[in-house]
Amino acid sequence: MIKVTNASKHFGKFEALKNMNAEIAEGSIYGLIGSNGAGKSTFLRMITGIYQAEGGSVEIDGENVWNNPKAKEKFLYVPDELFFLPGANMDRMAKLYKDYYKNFDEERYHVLTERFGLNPKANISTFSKGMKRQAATILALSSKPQYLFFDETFDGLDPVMRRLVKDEIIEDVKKRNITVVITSHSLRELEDVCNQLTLLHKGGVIFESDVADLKTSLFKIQVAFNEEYDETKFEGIDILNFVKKGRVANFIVRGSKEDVVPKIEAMNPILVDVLHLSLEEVFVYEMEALGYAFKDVLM
Amino acid sequence: MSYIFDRHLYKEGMRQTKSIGFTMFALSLVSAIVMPVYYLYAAKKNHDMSVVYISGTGFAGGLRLFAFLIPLFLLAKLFGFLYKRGSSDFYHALPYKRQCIYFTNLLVACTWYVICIIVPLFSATLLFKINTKVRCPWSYLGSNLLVYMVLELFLSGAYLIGASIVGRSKVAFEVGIIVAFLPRVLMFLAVICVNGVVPLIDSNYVSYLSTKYNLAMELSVGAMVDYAGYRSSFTFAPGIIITLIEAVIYIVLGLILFTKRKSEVAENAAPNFKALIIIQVLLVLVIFIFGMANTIVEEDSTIFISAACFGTIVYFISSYISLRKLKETVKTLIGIPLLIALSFVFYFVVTMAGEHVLNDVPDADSIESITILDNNTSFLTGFMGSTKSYSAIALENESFSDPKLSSLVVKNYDYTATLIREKRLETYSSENELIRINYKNGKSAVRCIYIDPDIKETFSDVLETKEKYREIVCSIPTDGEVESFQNKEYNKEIWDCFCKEYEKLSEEKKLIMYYKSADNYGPEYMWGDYSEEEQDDLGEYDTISVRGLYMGQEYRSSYNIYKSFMPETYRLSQKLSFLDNKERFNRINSKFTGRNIENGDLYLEAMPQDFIYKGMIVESIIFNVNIYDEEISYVSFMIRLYENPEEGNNKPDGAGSNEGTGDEEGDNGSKIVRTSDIQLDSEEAYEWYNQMIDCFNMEYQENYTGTKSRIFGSCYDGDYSINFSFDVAIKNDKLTSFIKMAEERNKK
Repeated sequence: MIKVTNASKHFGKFEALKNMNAEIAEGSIYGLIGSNGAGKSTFLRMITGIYQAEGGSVEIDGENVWNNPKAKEKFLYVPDELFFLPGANMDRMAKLYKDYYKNFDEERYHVLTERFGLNPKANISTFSKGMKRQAATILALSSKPQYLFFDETFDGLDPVMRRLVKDEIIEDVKKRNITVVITSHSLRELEDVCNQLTLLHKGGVIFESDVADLKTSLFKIQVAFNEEYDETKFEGIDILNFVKKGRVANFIVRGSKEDVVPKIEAMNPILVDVLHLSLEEVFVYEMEALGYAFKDVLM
Repeated sequence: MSYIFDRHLYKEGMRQTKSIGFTMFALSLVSAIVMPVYYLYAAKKNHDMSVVYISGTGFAGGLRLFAFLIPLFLLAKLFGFLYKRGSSDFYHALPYKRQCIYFTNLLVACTWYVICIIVPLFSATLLFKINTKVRCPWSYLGSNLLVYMVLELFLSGAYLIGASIVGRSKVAFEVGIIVAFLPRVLMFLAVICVNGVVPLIDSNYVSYLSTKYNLAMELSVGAMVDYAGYRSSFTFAPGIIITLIEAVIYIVLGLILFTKRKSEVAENAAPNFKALIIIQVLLVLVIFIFGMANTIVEEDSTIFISAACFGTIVYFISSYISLRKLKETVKTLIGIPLLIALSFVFYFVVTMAGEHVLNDVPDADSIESITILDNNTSFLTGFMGSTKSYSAIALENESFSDPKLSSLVVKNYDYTATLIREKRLETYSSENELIRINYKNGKSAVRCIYIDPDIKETFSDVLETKEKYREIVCSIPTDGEVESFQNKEYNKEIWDCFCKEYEKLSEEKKLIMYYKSADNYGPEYMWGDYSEEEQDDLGEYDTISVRGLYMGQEYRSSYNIYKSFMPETYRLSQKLSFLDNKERFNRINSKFTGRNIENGDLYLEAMPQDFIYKGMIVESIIFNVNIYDEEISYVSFMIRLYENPEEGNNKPDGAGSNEGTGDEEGDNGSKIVRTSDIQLDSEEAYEWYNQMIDCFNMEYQENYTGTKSRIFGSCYDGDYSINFSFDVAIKNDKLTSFIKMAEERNKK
């Protein structure tokens, strides 16, 4: 488990993270989203021991990460700004990781290299940006650490590769109960792979939730009545957002569908429809409820 | 898991530094072996090559430059990951302790140091050793190895402090330079400045403040300012030890800083703005301080103003290069007032120090003893490049107690201080003594004391009454203390004979030899039964020079071999020198008369002593030929004669160097007659050469009874040259006939 308690980080006068708290359970795929400068990379660097937290603590499996090789052996970090040894090819990097990570799986490495269509003997400096990201991902997955950290890694992959990587991650989580932390500024990227999501804004957590809970806690209802009506008709229902055009109204409801839908049906509408919300839409409404405009946070 | 060293990291470090390492190795190797290879080539080409004695610093002198560059290039590569965000994150995320990364990379650098230093030095030693014409002791290998390895560690520690603080390669280098050199440079400037204003102290004798206590300073700045000091740095143990201690301190400090280093510093010039200003201030401080030091010595404030202006420009440019933003650079200019303030702090410190020295006239009762130091090594009045003599080193390690000496110290110290205050001291023309005053409280101070001419009794007058002093100045190096002789191998035989005869000499004669020695520029002394006139002229003498190590220091001593004191040694010296020169003459003679010179030239000159021809002094006979394609292409034959010789043997004043026409006059009215440019064809040239040689008896004579001549010459045959010079007896009749023949030919 990764536990971050009241961790802060300043860069001069700029407060990158303030009193950050997070608990990332084993076997979870933790998504961290936020706009540029929200503190996502800073957070990852803190839990990988690159940055030292100012105040508070950062622990992996109960051990402080900072300057602790024993803790660092458990994870592998794929940063946004990739680095490979000068003049190295993938085979040389694989050898390097093999020296550092006891569980390095050579067979998986070869399989993934072939599947991604990369030449392991070619100098990595000749790869495109996307290929470099693929190479880094392959090496990370092949190393089979207990914790994997990806900093905006998916943003540079094409849809096919993205799907491939997500599948591999999910498989690893299922088989080995690893923990994965992924940062991105795109909710869509994380939607179908993360089971826990945290939204960072200006160095602080403004929203945190289990994805499954998120998806089921809010839904959209479309209704239509013959008679005139307004929002007050639906008293007792927790409505986040109400929009009416003509006789048709769309509103976002927090609550259980099993409770809410029968209540509305009891009002004899000419139309009742339950629409699913995308994660992005859920976020929008949740944040509006908190007083944030989505565009201010994720744009 | 190791917390200090990891072999995977080590292997990776060696792999990454392969190119730089081998390049540095190649350059170091070439620089180290260029001299021995040259000597091998020279020895093969020139069979007449004199034996060369390699000095400790000349042993692999070219390596010095690369010794400064090797740590810089290697460590910049090994720790270059600190300067980029991507690489910094990569390494800091790896499962290593920071200490492990630090030490493992340092060990990689040290591995290359060993390769780049040891192998070249060892190769140079071997190449010197296989050369029979070169003398190079094994001890040089050891001392050079130690010195260079300590230097590399010191420079490494300094650089690593820089790398552990800042986030850009250029700034890391600057901080490394500051750490390595700034403290010592400031000390050096302060000392030089005080020495310049108050010549009572001597920059070469300021204990820990001296550059010789730091190898980096001594092998760079010290080598330029005090070459003798630089030479001794390879055997000066305190300097090596202190540098090593500083190296360890720097490496440990670098480790602490590296462990605490914030990774986010990568790509930033400094951890924060204040730190950047401090770095820029320290970097440029030397310019300001140098200006202030010169202002103090020259009493000209415009020097400081100019230095400050120049320093400000350098400061601005350096800040801009680091920050790359004009607005930010302008903000850093706040450091300029700080630089000016520090300069004035320097001014006050130096002024106070100078005043202290001036006022520090010792009390005679507080002086325990004095030690005589070698004046030749004085910073202001000594000779740059001079090596201490054997007895100078011995004297430096002895102290002498006497109330008279203490009284002389006080009187002359006061005299010197007065001269300095009144600005009447002329350091280069005034007589002085460099002494260490040993106080009863255990402290000591080295002072350059100028001698009051009104004080009749001198230091030497008092010292000569001391048995220990006489014993020291009369002692000569033992066998184990002699490493080499000047030039010729046969000097060993002469030295052995010298030592035997020297032992039998009386103390007064030994003292005379000491004072007459080229090592000692003391005044003439009256001693024992020798009158002043007799002491002025002790007759003919030769000189022998020896070099070696004594009390851990390199020495060079010259001893006069007086014929009157050491007849056997003198005879041997004359004979061996003669035979050596004769052998070389024979080779020249054989080459020329055997017509074995393809392209080259031959020069032969005879300078008869006291030879009169028709009432004229024969000053010289010169024979000179150029040979091209085995044929003589040019011949020059000249005889210089003087009319009206005065007092028998004396030549007229001013004569001897003019190219006259035969009617010129010397300064005292004598006439210079010259027979010159006699046109000879090739065969005549050979014939005249043989006739000229035949005028002299080329066999060694212990005592010349008749007239003699100095014969000297050289021959260059396109590959190498041979020289010779020795005295031979004249066959008077033959020389007279020869000159007559030349005269008659000239008339034609």
